Amino acid sequence: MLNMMSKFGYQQLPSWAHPQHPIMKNVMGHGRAQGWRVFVVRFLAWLLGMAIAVGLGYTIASRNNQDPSVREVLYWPLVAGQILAMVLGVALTANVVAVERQKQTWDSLKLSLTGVSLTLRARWISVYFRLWWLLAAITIGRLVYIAYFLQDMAAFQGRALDLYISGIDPEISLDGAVLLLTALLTAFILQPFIEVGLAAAIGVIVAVFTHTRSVVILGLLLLIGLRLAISISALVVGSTVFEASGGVTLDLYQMDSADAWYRLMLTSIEGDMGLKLLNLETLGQIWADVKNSVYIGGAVLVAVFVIGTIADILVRFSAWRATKPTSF
Amino acid sequence: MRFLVKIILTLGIISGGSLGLVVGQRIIRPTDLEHTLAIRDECGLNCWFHIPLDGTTNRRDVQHYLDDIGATYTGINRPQINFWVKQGSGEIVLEEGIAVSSCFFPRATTLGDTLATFGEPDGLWLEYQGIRYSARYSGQVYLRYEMFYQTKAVRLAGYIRLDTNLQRPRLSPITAVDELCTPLPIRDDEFMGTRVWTEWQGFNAPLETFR
Repeated sequence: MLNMMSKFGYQQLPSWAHPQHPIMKNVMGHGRAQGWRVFVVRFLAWLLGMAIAVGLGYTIASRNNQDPSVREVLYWPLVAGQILAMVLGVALTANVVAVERQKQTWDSLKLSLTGVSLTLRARWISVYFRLWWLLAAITIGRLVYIAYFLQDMAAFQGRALDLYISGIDPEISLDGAVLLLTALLTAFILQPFIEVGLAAAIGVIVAVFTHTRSVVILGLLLLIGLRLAISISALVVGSTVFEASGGVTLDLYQMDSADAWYRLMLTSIEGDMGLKLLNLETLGQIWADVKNSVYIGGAVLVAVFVIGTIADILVRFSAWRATKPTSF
Repeated sequence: MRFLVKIILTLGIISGGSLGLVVGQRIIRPTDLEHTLAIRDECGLNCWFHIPLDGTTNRRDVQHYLDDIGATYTGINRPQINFWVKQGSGEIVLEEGIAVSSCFFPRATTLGDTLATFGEPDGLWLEYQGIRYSARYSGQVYLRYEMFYQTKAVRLAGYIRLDTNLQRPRLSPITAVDELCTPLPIRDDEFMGTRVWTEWQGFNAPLETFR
């Protein structure tokens, strides 16, 4: 069954991203097949890692609240995991050209746009395979958030959403609200993958534009610093609109609409990737306080799509740039 | 890009389906919402009585209570009592044998339940009763507000409690309802008529909107 599902999943991928594609095989390495013992040890280590992360999350959450909710416990481990995934995304691709040059294959690859394009794309997509353990943990945590969100929606005999959209500006039908929440949930699942994709694409760009090893390392450190700075700034901005234990701050009501939108979007895209937003009570408060904020789910999905498109363009541009004779 | 569009559509369908299933349960009319009770024969009594509600009480049980005191259940054409089968206790007020109102003291009923049962109010009026009290076990301090709730079909009166820890109190769907009476006693109609009803502003609006 699992085999069938993974086969179906792989069929949806572009051919060059398939693990059986020759270039992907080359990129991923030809390591010997590992026995089940190695698999079990790795799986146990992964479970242990998640348990430690949840334990740390509980310690942090219980400092503010003696009886923290599951969402509060998972919040900081997920935020840390998401930032780590983005940093690793950059780090795993920033040296792609250096690796090919070390293998003395770069000059021959550069001769054709197809060769370079496939190699860079394969290096880019391989980040997802290398980070599966982290992305899987993040996705599980985020699915727990979604489960609680659906539980919130089921309150009041399934009428919770009717109640929360009652009296908001602009008025919206229940069907419209469901569609916008669908967009929010879709964006919520995709966001870590898209952000890692963008980080990895930026790493590829750095790899193409930097020549020497020392510059690669410098560029990488700069990018990691920049990534951390953006995430931390977005989280700080988020703390001006979201309360630590859920709900929104008093300030949100007093902000003008544009300012509130900017803060909500920045923290939901670059900060915690929508963790604070995906709470029906918090959303209800935002809808009551900020005009037109009922559309935030759609706006986040559009942002996620734009980020995904930018990542794709960056990888294509890197391949085109790499074939230019002036690049090296 | 094609893969991105494909995955967005797939996840969209899955998310939409899940939300649709959750929201769809509203179609199923729960049994614990509203029951209608009416009294025809004037028993000549001006009385009230308490009913323990264990979550399984239905209007047949209430009929037995009424039979015991000489009032008769008929079904329609008389003052109606919206009766909740919730855990807690109930009180029925008879005037000249007619059940003019019923009050409920639920253990865990919220304002969201009230809206889900009676519909969105046309008007809502809240007044702080100057009463602060703390929960027995948690020590949490609450403020008690008197509430009048008016829809086209029914008028309700009751009490809600709000958490004092909140920086900016909001009328949330999870606001606890301590007492709910429906409909209002006839004698209070004049009193109610003088009130200025605030237009319903929706949940999560600041509490001061309703004052």
